[in-house]
Amino acid sequence: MTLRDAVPYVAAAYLAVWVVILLYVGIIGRKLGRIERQLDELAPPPGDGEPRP
Amino acid sequence: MRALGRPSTTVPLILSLILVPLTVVLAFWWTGDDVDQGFSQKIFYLHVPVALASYAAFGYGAVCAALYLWRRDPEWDLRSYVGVHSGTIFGTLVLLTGPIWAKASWGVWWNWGDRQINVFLILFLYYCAYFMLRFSLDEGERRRSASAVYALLGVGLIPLSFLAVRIAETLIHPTVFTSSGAAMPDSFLVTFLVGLAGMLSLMALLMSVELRGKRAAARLVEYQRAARGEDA
Repeated sequence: MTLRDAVPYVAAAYLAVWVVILLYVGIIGRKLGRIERQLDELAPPPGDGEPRP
Repeated sequence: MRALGRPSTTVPLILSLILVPLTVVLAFWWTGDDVDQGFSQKIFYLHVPVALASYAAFGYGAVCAALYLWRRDPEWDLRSYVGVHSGTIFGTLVLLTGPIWAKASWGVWWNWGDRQINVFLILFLYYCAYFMLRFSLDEGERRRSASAVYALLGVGLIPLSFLAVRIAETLIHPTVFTSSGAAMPDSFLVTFLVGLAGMLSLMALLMSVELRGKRAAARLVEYQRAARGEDA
């Protein structure tokens, strides 16, 4: 296989790995964001709607 | 739920940020092209470390499953789940990069006659079914025990998958690591080892982040129950 023929395969393999890992990180990030929002609903962080002393 | 200790994300993050880009640099600018496969051999530095990281994650999941069955601490069940989940993610990468490399090197996307890739596919599907089993049961001791036994049983497929290429002595799937050492130039071996360390670091990072998320979710459920006045 010539270099010109091999480049698309090599690029596709490296790209596939990064797309899957970025998707995975994005999904974990969204889940963590949802947990943070739900925690805030249970116990709002200091300063949210409360006048500071 | 008792925490066994917070998994570090700093060390694997730093190692991943250094080693993964370094692998790409070494693979494309330091190592030469392989005599047989030419430029397509560059996929080796990605595909094989990802496969070994996948085996490591499944193995970690099985060890944690055994520890759960021994100690009955839900934290080990959570770690086992995270290990199996990460192994499945990395397994997906193996099944994406493998056929691409096969097409470039062998001219076919999949070779049903090659035992190693078929055993890996069985291993992957086996652990995919782990999630079906786990989430078909209600949360509690029964789910944790069934998941642990299932994760533990699957670990036998790992050495079988790894050794299949040697047992079968197939000509199409090359064996580069033999009892007499690595059959490759030093530059190839160094790049491969850097790639392996990078992928293991990346896997450790993703696992520790996911474990933190799972722990936070479990704590949230406890807080929500407490807020509703239910027993935890």
